[in-house]
Amino acid sequence: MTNRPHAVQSVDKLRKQVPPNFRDEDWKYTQFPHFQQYKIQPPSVPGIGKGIPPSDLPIPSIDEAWVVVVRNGVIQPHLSHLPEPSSGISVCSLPGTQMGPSEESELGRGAIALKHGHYFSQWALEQNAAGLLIEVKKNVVAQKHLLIHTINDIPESESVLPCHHVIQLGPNASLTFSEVMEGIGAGMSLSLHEIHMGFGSSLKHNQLQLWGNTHECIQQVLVNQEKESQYAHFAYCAGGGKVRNQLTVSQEGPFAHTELTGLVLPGAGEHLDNQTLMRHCTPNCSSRQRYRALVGHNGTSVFNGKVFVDPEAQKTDAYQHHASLLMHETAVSNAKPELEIYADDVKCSHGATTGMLDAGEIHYMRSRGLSEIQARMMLQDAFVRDLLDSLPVETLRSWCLNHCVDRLHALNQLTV
Amino acid sequence: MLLEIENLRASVEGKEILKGINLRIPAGEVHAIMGPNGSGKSTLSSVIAGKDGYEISGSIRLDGEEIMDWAPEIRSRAGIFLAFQYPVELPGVGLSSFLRACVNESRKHRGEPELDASAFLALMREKATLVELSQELIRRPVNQGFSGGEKKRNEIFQMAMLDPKMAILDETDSGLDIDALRIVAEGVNKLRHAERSMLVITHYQRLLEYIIPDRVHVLMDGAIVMNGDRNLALTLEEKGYDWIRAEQEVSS
Ligand SMILES: Nc1ncnc2c1ncn2[C@@H]1O[C@H](COP(=O)(O)OP(=O)(O)OP(=O)(O)O)[C@@H](O)[C@H]1O
Ligand SMILES: [Mg+2]
Repeated sequence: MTNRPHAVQSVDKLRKQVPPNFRDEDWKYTQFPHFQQYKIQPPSVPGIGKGIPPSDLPIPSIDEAWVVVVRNGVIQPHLSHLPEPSSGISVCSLPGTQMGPSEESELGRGAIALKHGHYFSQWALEQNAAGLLIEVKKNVVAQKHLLIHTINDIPESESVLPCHHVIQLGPNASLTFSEVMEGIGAGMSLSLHEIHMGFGSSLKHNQLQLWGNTHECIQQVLVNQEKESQYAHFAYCAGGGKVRNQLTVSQEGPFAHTELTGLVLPGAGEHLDNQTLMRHCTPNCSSRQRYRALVGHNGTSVFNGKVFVDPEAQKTDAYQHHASLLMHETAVSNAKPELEIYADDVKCSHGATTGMLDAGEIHYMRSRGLSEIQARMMLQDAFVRDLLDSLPVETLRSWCLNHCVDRLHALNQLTV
Repeated sequence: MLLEIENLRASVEGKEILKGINLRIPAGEVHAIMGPNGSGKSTLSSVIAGKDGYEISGSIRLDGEEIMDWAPEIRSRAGIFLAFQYPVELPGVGLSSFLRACVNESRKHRGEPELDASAFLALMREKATLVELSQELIRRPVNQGFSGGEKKRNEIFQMAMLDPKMAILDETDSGLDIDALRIVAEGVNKLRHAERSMLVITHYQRLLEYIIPDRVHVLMDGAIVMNGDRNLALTLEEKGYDWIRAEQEVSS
C-alpha cells in the first residue's frame, strides 16, 4: 500500500474509534476496555547487566544462530550477533520516523496492516512503534537460524510497549526465524508483524510466548504470500494474564502453502486467545491449521479459526483442526471454526473437539499398572507431543517438551 | 488357592448384576466361564480388575490376601491381568513407551530393578513373536487404528509382557479369524505354567479345543449355576443354555 491518502484516512478514522468490545464477534471473549487510558512505555535502555538472558531459555549460542536480543524495545548489541553483510540477510532497527510514501513502498511498512490490521495494529502504526526490519535478499537461503529474544519488562499495569517488525523475503529466499518472547510485569506487550513473502520464498516462523501470568499481550502477525511461497508458523503459548494473538495470512499468488500450528497452555487465571484468518485469494493454494489447547484449573483458551475462500480461489485445499483438553471442571475452552467459502471447486475440512480425559482410557491404563496420575500425564503428554513434533528447530522443540512436562506436573498438582 | 471369590455381589445404579458369585481357582489351573449375553461375565472380570463405578460386597482374595479395597493399578502390579473384551485406544500414546512404564511399575512393586531401554526392547521382541504381533503395530499408539483382531492380539501381547499370576481373558477369541485364533491360543498355551492361573471367558467351544480348561463354569443371570469339566463346554455347544434354565426351574 503506497497510497498515502488512504493511510492518513485510516489513522484519522482510528482516532475517532474506540477499542473493540464484546459486541464485536471477534472480541467477544477478550477485550481491553481501558486501552485508551494506557500509558505508553517508551523503549528504554536497561541497567548494565540486566539484559543477560536467563540460562534456562532455549537461546542458542551465537555459533549456531544469529541472535538478536531486544530488551524493552532496544537491541542489546553486546548480547546480539547479527547476520554478516555477506549472508544476504540484514537486520536493522525499523526507523521510527513518520510514514511517508517513498519509505512505505521501500519497506512495506504499514502495507498490510493498513488493510488487514485490527484496531490495535493500526494504533501501533499510528504510534510509529519501533522494531526490526529483517530482509532476506532474493535467492538467499539462510545458512543459520535467526532468533530474536524479546524481553519486555513492564511493571505497571495499564502501560503498553508497542513494537512493529517488518520481515521481507525476496523471491526464492528462505529463512527459519524464531522468537522467544518474555514479558515480565503486569503491563502489555503489543506487537505487530508484517511479513512479505516473495515468489517461491519460504519462512519457518516459530514463536515461543512465555508471558508472565499477569502480563497482557496483543499481537497481530500479518502475512502476504506471493506465488509458490511457503509460510509455516508455530506458536507455543505457554502463559499470559490476558493474551490475544491474531494471525492473518493472505495467499496472494497461486500454489502458496501455509501451515499454522499452535499449542496453547493456559494455567490458573490465564486467558489465552488465538485467532487465525486464512485468506485464500488465488487458485491452487493450500493451508493446514492444527491447534491444541491444554487448559488447566481456572484457565481459559479461546480459538477462532476463520477460513476465507475467494470466488477466484478454485482448487483450494484448506484444513483446520482444533482440540482442547480440559484438565478440570473450571477450565474453559471456546473454540469456533468459521468457514466462508465462495468458490465451488474446493476441499475444505475442519473439526473441533473439546473435553476432559476419557475415564475409560484412564481405567485401561490403570488396569495395566499405571497410577491415575501417570495415566493422565501420559495422555496429556501424547496430546502435546504430537503437535510439538512439527516445531522444526530441535533446540526449541526439546526445550518446549521439557517445559511442557514441567507445566503438566504443575497443572496436575493443582488438579488432584 | 490363587484366586478365591466369595459371595461377590455388584450392582450399578441400584441394578444388581452379580448376585453372589463363588469361584476358586487353584494356581496353575485354567478355568473357563461361559454364559449367555448379559449374564455378567464382563462385569465379573471388571470387578476383579478393580474398575470403579460398582457397589460391591463380598470378598476377592489373591494368594490369600483380600484385594477388594485395592486400586486397579495395585491389583495389576500384584499380578492380575484383564484382557479387555473391548480394548481401549489411547490416542498418541506409543505402545512401547506405555508398556515400558507398565512393566517397570510391576517390577518396582516386586522389588526388581527397572528394565533399561535395550533389555526392554529385547523383551518386547521376544513376546511379540509369541503372538506374531508385527513390529509395525508396536511402533503405533496403543490400539489406535488397530483392527478388532489386532487389538485382541495386542491384549495377549501385553499379558505376556506383564507376566501376571492371574490372567482373565474376556472373549479374546471374538473378532479373531481362524488363523489368528490358533496363533493367539498357542501363545496363551505357551504362557501356561504352574504358577499362573487363567480365567477364560468365551462363547465358543472352539477356543477351548486349543486352550484346554481344567474347569468350566456357567454364569447365568449374575450367578454361577453349573460347574463341570471340559465336557460341559461340549454339552453347551450342542444344547445351548435353555436346558440349564429348565433344570434350575425344576430344582427350585
Ligand atoms: N455400567 C452399567 N450400567 C448399567 N448396566 C450395566 C452396566 N454394566 C453392565 N450392565 C448390565 O449388566 C448386565 C451384564 O453385563 P456384562 O457386560 O457383564 O455381560 P456379559 O455377560 O459380559 O455379556 P456379553 O456376553 O454380551 O459380553 C447387562 O445386562 C448389562 O446391560
Ligand atoms: Mg462381556
